[in-house]
Amino acid sequence: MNRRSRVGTSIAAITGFLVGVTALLSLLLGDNPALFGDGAQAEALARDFALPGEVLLRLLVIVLALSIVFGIANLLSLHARRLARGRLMSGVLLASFAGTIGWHITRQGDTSLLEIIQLPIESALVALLCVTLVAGGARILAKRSDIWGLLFVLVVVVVLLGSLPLPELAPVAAFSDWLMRIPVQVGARAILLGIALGSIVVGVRALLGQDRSVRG
Amino acid sequence: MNDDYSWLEEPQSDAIQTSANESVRQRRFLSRARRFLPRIRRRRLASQPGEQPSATDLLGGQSERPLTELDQRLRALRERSLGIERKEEWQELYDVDQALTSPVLQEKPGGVISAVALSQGQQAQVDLLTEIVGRQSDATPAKRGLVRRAGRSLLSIPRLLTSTLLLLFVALPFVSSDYAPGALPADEFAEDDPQAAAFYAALDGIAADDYVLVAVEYGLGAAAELDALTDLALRHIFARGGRAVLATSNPIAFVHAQNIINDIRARAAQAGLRLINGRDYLLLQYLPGGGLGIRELSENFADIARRSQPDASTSLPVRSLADMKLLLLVADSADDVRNWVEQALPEAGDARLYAAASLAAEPLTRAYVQDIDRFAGLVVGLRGAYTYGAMLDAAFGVDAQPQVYDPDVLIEATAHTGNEEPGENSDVEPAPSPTPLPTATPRPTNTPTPPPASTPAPTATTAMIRILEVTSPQSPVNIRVGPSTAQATLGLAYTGDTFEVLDTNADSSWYKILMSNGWEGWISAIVVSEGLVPESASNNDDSASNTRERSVMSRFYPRRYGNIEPRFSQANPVTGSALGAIIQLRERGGEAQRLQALTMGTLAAVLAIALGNLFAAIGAMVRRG
Repeated sequence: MNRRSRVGTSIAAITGFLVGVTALLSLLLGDNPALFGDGAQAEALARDFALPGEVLLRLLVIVLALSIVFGIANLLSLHARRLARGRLMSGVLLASFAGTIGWHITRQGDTSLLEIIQLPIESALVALLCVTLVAGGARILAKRSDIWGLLFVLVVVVVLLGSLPLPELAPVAAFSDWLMRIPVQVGARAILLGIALGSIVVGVRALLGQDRSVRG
Repeated sequence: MNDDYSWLEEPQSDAIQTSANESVRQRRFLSRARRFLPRIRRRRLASQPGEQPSATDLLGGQSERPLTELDQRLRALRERSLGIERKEEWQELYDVDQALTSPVLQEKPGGVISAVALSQGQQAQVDLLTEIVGRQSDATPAKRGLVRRAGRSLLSIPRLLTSTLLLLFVALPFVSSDYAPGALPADEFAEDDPQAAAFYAALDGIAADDYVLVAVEYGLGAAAELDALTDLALRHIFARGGRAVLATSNPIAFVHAQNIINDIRARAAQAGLRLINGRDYLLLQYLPGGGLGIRELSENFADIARRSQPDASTSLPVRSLADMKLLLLVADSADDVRNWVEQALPEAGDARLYAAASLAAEPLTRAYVQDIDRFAGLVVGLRGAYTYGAMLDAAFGVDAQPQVYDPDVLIEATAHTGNEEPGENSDVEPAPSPTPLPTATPRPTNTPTPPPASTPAPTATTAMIRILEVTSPQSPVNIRVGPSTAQATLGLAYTGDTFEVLDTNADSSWYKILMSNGWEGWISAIVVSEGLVPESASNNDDSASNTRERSVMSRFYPRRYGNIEPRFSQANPVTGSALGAIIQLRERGGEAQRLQALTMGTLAAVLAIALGNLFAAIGAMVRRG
């Protein structure tokens, strides 16, 4: 790593640390006026502390919103270059983009494009996904013929059968309901715990500069 | 990998080249230059004749190494390179930038992606390298390619069979009622599902003019499942006289919400009901940043609501999530549920959260419902939508009793019916060709019912109140939070708009005014003129005896601000029945078929998975045995 890169990384880490600590302290102190005592003065002090955090979060939201604009600009420039190289499908994309914008401007409230194009395409995508998942599920034992593959297939079949409104399958439905209530919810809560712990760990690592910053 | 970039070097003096330290420094410089110099500069350097080693030079240089150090492949490569005659076009290998250009994927008919498209230069380089390196086998590529193409084709046999099976089973219930297995969901939420019952009870308990925040958070995959729940919940809110504030951090959901609202508006218009964005409902602007966007909404609700108004001069009389009667979340993922629970619910005061979730989001959502007191209800999936729709039909059907909201309001509204002048911002306007529903009675005239906050006491018939009329020709003018141009803008007022005066500042250069939505703002004295009207006049337009008063009273609740009130629920004595038409006019009939198609499709999926794995297991046993 050369000197310039080290300096850049250091600046990014220090900036991230300062901004993160400022935001955390601001949110912590700003949301707890009781830390400063009672009365209006404590609340005013808490509001003062809350201000930097709110400003930073607003800036972050603005940056995130701008990233959408950059994403669109990047998409357009990429497909413009592809069109220049003779890729006609990119031209279709660009024309669709311009047409949709023009349609929205000239025909406010007209949702024909949405109903005629987007909704059927969404349905088709979901149908493709469904077919692919079922085809994959049907062949899973061919790729992984062990106890875990068999267990997976059995659980899938039981849950699917349990969701059917057939009186003959009531025992399967009861077992499926138990699966959803106990093991699945246990897993769900574990995921929640994992998300929380992971967020804390990643946050602390970023704050301490042990993790890669945006600059890499 | 040994990076030899000596061909990039600038012409240098012999003294520098002979110095080892200088050489190291120069190498560092060139390493940086290689990254930062523009590509065209590098190309120019690369095109300079002289010290550039060709691929064959590099390969030929290996001949100086003992052959024992080379493995078999390198020996074969060396022998092949030594036997190849040099060609002029090999210079293309020097153009590293071009050689490293990423190939592009080429679309061809019959497949999504079937080949890699190379530029002319890249193809020449591939041919050259092929000639140098050679092919491992010239006999098998065609066969292998065919196998590969068949394996990757979208029309592979398993997918084709699965698609046909699913299509057949799903289509059967729509073709004939004989293929309708199983029982439809119940017409009421079961007793063993108190969370669903709580969901319905909460929405059914919405009173006229209650505000409900509807968070719509689902994407492509769950639209078919959750569009129905969103539609039903919005109709339920409107039918109860409530106002919906729609928010989303998902752009796809934003489009879906807009589409659903448009459909409800179009069908409500058939019953003579007109739903107006910014008054009866408000579609908030897209919230970027996921959880951060939701946090921004919860902390700066008033700002976002003001920016989202279709007409910049209107504003809802809600300033925070705490003003909401309840929060309703329609979500297809646990992350969205977590975001709203963590970021929005703490800022919502005493308001409770209710959710309509997809099947995929149910386990985590139910975990939240069980653990958080203020997360009080949950309806899941298409089956929940079916039951919910059936309950709404029973409650708001044609034979249902008219819904009465507030007797006092209805008495007041009855006294006003027929006496008012039509206005452009009435809540309910006669549709161009209203459908004559048995219970839907379009309101014939506009009813500018004063809001409670600004309605003077009816007994004070001789008292006068101070009013302002905006007289500045430079309309619109700003209404601000405080008596200073440095204060934030609360809204806009137009020439002719009138307001009740609440107070003035010390030097009377600013007036504190009451807006019809209940907000208090400040307006500069420069742009208004002051007058007096009888306080009793505000209760009845006909009491205005002179032109000045009539003129003032006709705009006492100015167009730009008065369009929030009156509400259709306050204006029409048959409001309950009329609003019930919003539910009666929804599209129905296909729900049962869709549910039966879902059942058949699930059966087909189980069949495909079971049979496919059975055949796979038998095939594996045969191969092993």
